[in-house]
Amino acid sequence: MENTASRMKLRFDDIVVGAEIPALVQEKITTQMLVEWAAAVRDFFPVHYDQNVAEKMGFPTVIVHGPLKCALLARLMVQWIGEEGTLLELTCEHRKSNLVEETLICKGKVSDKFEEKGCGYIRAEIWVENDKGSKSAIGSSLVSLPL
Amino acid sequence: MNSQKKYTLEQLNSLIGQEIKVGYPTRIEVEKGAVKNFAEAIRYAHPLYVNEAYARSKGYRSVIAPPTFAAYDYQRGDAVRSVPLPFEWSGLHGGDEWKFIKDIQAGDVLTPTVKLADISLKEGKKGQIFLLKVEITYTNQDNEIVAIYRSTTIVMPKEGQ
Repeated sequence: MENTASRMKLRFDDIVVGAEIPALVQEKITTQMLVEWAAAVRDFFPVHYDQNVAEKMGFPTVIVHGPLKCALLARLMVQWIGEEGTLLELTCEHRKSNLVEETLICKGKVSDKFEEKGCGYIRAEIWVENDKGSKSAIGSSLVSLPL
Repeated sequence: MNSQKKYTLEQLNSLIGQEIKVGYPTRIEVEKGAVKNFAEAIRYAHPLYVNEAYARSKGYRSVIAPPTFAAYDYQRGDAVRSVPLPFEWSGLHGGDEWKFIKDIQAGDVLTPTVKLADISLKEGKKGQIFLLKVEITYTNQDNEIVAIYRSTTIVMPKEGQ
């Protein structure tokens, strides 16, 4: 996978404002993934792994951590720009909760590109949607690529 | 509902900019194993994150951490719960904003500094809603800022106070 990605290196000149970022990140969220995330960041709020707590809080099942969605959006950007690129900024506003077993797809669209001091910069709108097309997290990102 | 106590932004504005002492943890030692766990949790075990020899071949001292790793071992909820608000409340996580300034490498020791960056007020149908932005600045052992994280919490004062 990495070899393929490095062969298809993203070049600043090829980037078109308005173009979509390939949907490189698509994950079916399992309880195991939520537990791995909880342990990785030491966030043990039980609504993300305990069905009883989730039901008491009014959710049909356990829900996905917001910062996990943010980290998946960050993964989309670094996976897209490759090792030569640099992720500089990322924002993510949480609009809706996602339930376990949903498939989350990270998407993006180039909103601006500019050159400054010998470096190429790209702004993108980014979001997380499920396989029914419902957007749950919306944000933006700034990355740089060598010219 | 009408008897619910109202708060004004003026009562809370003095909190903005204040450093928040959360008590724990004051140091984050970036360990290879923790970096690998994080990379696996986001299903992206890139060799820069999990293969030290590869990371060294790219000029790093050790593996580097995936973006947003700095929040590791930092319970965001605890930071916002340490803000001395004059009421009991329940909250929702509203959003994340990151500035990534420098790569974080295994072996780094990060110091988080927490402050309340902003408070805004919305009068909703169900009562008052405050948006609290807590800002965490992560500084490494060389006194370089590596990342700045702003987390927004939607704070709803509990009724009957």
